[in-house]
Amino acid sequence: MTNERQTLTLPVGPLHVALEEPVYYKARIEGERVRSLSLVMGYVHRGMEALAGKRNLFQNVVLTERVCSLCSNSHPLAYCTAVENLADIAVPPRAQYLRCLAEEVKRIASHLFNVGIMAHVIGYKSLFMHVMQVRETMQDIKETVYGNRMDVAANCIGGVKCDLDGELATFIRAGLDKLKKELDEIIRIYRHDKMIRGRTVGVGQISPLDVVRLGLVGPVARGSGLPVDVRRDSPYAAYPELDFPVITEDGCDVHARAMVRLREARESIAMVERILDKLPAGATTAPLPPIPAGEAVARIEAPRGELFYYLRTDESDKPLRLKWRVPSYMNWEALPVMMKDCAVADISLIVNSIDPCVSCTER
Amino acid sequence: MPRPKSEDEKQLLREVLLEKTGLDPEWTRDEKHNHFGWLRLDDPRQLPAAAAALAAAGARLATISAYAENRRDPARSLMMLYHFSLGGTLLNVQARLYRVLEESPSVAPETGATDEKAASPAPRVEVLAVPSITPWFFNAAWPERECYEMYKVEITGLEIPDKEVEARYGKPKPAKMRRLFLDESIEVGVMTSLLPFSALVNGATTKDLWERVTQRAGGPDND
Repeated sequence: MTNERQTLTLPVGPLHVALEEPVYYKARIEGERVRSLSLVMGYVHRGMEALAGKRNLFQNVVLTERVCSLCSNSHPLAYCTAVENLADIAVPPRAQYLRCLAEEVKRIASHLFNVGIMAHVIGYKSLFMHVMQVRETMQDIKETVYGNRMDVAANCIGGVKCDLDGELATFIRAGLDKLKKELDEIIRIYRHDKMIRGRTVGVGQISPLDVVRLGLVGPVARGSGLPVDVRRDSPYAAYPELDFPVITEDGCDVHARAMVRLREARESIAMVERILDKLPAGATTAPLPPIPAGEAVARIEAPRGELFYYLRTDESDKPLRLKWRVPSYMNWEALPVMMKDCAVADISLIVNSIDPCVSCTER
Repeated sequence: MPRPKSEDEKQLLREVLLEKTGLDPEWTRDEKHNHFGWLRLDDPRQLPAAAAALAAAGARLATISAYAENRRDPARSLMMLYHFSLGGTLLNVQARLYRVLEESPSVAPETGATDEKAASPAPRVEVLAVPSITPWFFNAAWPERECYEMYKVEITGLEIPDKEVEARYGKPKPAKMRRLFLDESIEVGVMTSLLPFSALVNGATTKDLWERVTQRAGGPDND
């Protein structure tokens, strides 16, 4: 059916497709429909893996915090876990709980940001403003507990840097109580609102079979009904002791992925409360042994999915190789599948639905 | 506490690898009883067989790390490390690279057999290569392209069963690999090459300062 004369290549990007991060999408379109898609990347490649080889093991904690803004806690956590696996460092229980706390706080903020941007792309500006305003509660918590709105500097090799006292715990609980009610309302809007449903239900579909074939991770996989979650599959920190469900949706579309994120944010609130209830007393860091020559891997569930770190050391204090693979790296390849025969107007909506991070992917 | 599911995953990986490649990985674990397997392939031609076995067992490719074993001689000590996961269990398969003569794809992914033509007398450029695993793991395309542009690891012997892959990536045989992130103007193998600092930071300078210094000192310009 394809008539070559009727197709043309539509350049989308590189700037400002849903997010202010550069990727150039070359869409081959026929009328209003996207027939195929290819990506041109590399606009913000910074050679961070090469930099990691020039810094010592401590300096790399700071470097990995700066890979990405929305998972600025996940990167140093995965990196520190890799160092701890390599040197057999046992992280104290209190530090393990505090690490989960930082992760879940970050997850709520990250997921709300993504669904907020979705409303923005749809053109539902008031909802966008409202979600971002509600998200401010989490930003306040991060700023109060960690001293900055991105919760960098929460982790260190062998434990955490930021401890909690009773006053801070009370502050977090008060914030979450407020957020819970607002989030329930937001979930109700996203689930039932006609405008949201009209733009997102059935758009950007990807089958569970394709999810497995492409090795997709995080809310993108869970939005197609696949219960993959590193927190449960390959437990780390205090997650085995925090009872939590793996949230999935069966829609396989943009709406399902947004609902997974919203329900996970809701679940993360409950998890933070559980962490505060169960928080054990004790030290927040382990003594640091000499780091031997060797290799180790670590995996954690970042807000966008599985984050993978590989560390190889020799006699030097600088890693011989530090390699990481971010969740977005896997999920980009879903776009050509999701956009097959979609409307041109849905391109940025589908791009946003995989919650892509370019600065993570290109490093 | 040991987790039964994780023990099963480890056992399944061991069995398929033993059956198909005759190799048994070394195993380590962390304090949460997640298992990590470490398999070392001295001959990269075993890689397709290992990949086929792992794909059949339902493993997925997490990523591929290329690295240099020797800091002082990176270009000649390259290694490939393939990270596979099956549920909560990770298997790391390390493969050495082999020397291949460019324009002679020498490994057929189905059999892993060497092509006789590789030994032909025509003078050709020698490159380091590994066979592609994209026939079994679709998502290997990106990491393989990245290993190529970052470490100059050529990916050979790819007979793509999937027209969709071919349309999007072209045939990634030696010298035809497509870049992933780096511009075509940058030579491949940046992670193993030494770059002048001024070139790295794009700090092209003029001789202006030096000329002013020599002028003030009554230097060579005035004689």
